[in-house]
Amino acid sequence: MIRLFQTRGGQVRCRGIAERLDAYLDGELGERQRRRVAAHLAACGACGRLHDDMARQAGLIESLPRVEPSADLRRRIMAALPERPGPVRARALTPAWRPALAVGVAGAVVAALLLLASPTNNHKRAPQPASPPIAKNVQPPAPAPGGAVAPSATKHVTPVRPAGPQIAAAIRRPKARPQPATPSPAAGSLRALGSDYEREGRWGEALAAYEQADAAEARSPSLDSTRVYERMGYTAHAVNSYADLALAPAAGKASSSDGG
Amino acid sequence: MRDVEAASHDRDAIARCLRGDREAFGELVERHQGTVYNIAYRMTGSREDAEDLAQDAFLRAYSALGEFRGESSFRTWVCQIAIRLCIDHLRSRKETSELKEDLDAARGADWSSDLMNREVVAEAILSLPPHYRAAVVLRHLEHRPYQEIARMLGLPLPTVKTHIRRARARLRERLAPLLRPAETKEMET
Repeated sequence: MIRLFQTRGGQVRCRGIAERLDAYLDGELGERQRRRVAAHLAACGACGRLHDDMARQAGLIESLPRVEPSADLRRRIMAALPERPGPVRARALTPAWRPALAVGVAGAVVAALLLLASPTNNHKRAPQPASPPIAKNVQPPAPAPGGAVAPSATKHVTPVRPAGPQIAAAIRRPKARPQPATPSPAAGSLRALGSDYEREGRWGEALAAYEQADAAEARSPSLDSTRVYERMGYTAHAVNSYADLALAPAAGKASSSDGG
Repeated sequence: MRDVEAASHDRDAIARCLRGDREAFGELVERHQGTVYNIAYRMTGSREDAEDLAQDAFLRAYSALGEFRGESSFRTWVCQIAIRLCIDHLRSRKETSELKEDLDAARGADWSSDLMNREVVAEAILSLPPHYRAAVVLRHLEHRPYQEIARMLGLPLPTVKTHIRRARARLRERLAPLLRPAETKEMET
């Protein structure tokens, strides 16, 4: 049986308390454990101070004010909606169906290549891409009821901020993954550090190093990070990242080559 | 509106939306835009980015509404989309934020002022790695239970707890001058 608290002479040790203070503050401990922690906090100055710091910190964070979106946000969203909710066309929405999307995209690419290689296909023109799934249905901002365009609506049709169609175009076109011409020295060092940690089985530290390297190179998760996600049991993350890498073979290749 | 009640209204709105009633989606936007926008704002520190990301999240949700299986609430689902977009956005941009600029402008102000404290706290949250940041925002600002945070982040529950514990420890180091102002002053003198 796992002992919940390390004790010495019946007294709960500080280490066991510090590990449980988060759960204590979140109200996640059972009654018996909660009473033991409370009794220790009353008797131990150091743990009491740590508890007070943590409680004060929670209060500070929770004192941050809520911010209101602009009154225009709902209108912008509604103006950019396609005519009907459609099948998933944009890049990755939920982890559960991403692999299916990756397989679908891969299938489409293979089909396109086969079509180009076909002997009957003797013209050199590149196949036309499918119609944009979202942009073609994007409606302009709706006029006011009765057909008249209200002055405020007219004012917002050409906002300084990106308009609906631009957003839709951004969704249709996966964002370019900036790849540095040469690997940044900082990223290289971080990746080497991550590799060392990985060899030692220090997965959390390896992941942190790889993620920092990815960030330094302004890249989505590299193969290195993805491998560690998988090793650490972040299944959904790993699947997403593998799908990302499958959708961007150039990025994946670059990543695996500098990952060693 | 209580969570259960809101979820019931959401299911009704989704059904109407799938039957072609676009205005029903407006109800969903109305109900959840505040949450999505606040998460995006605390994740990015920029009002402009937060609005763009919130808009993007709702558009993606609408486009994929037919795929929504109702295994979680609509709120969880749209927040999950927004958080993924925020994390992708943070990975692809340089760390600049209005909050940081505001903070730089306010340097030298009295550390005890509430406004200054809030800016310091907001900046400390922005200094966290994206997943830690998301977990702290969802826990402390959106008051979501751990289980729901795990679903939103697509991570196992123990991992989320670890993220939150480590994030709090990092924040504690960074916010030490606010947590124990007297001791910090003593150390400086």
